[in-house]
Amino acid sequence: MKIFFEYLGLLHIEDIKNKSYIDVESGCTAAEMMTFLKIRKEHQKFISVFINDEEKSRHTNLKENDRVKLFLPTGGG
Amino acid sequence: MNKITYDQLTSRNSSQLKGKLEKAVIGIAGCGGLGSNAAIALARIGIGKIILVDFDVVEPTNLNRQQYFIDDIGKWKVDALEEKLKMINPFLQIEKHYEKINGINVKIIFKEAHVIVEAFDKVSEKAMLVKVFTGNLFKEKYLVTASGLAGYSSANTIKTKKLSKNIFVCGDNKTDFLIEGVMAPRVMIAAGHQANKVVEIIDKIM
Repeated sequence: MKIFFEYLGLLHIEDIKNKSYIDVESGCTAAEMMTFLKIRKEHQKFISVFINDEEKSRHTNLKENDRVKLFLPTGGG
Repeated sequence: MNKITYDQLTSRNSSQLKGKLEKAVIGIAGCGGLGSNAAIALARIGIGKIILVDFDVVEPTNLNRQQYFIDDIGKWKVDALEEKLKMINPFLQIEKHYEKINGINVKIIFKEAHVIVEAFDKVSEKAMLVKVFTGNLFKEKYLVTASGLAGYSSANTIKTKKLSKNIFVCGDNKTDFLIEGVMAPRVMIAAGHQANKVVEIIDKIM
């Protein structure tokens, strides 16, 4: 199924254009999507997941055309 | 010290904010570069109450970006910042907490806050505060976080973005202090973005 995918932060995701539609397994969770995208485990624990502009658990199942945003903060303050 | 009135202090503020700022309670999570700069901006415009939280003392390495002076070295940051804020705005109520924020005490510390300014250094602490909001603990509150303010690349890359209905992020979302260092100009710009977003939120909710 297709979802709209966006990320903020220093994520290194190969072959995926930021702010684009991507294909993921139907009904997968946000956490499974992160693994599918090969996002490093040490990054995953600091990532917040937003689905359709609402903050959600990474265990939320995704639906067709969901807008999924991952936020990994960078350090400094 | 010269006596001033609250009306004098706020007389150049935007007129539509009249009666709103003095009712607002803002949490400052971390009184370093972001927190000290954002708190000073908010004190200047007449915010009613600020909750300052930090467990650290002022060090010489803080002076390149944080609103402290040489005489502040060794003082608790919340105490040193309180002095500065009171010198600017004697009407400001200040609540101080000398502790490290975690997923448990955050509920108590910021119970009264309408908006929380995330002003930590570390990725793990920034992420923790966003996750507190993710857990619907603070459904009625707003968070203004910061991410990407290191180095000295273009100031114009620092933006304010909406993450959800009650979470906003200010910064370029790329630069990291461990790689590029962290200095006053971009930190102050990001803190300015945070303070301005706080004002926008207060205007909307009050």
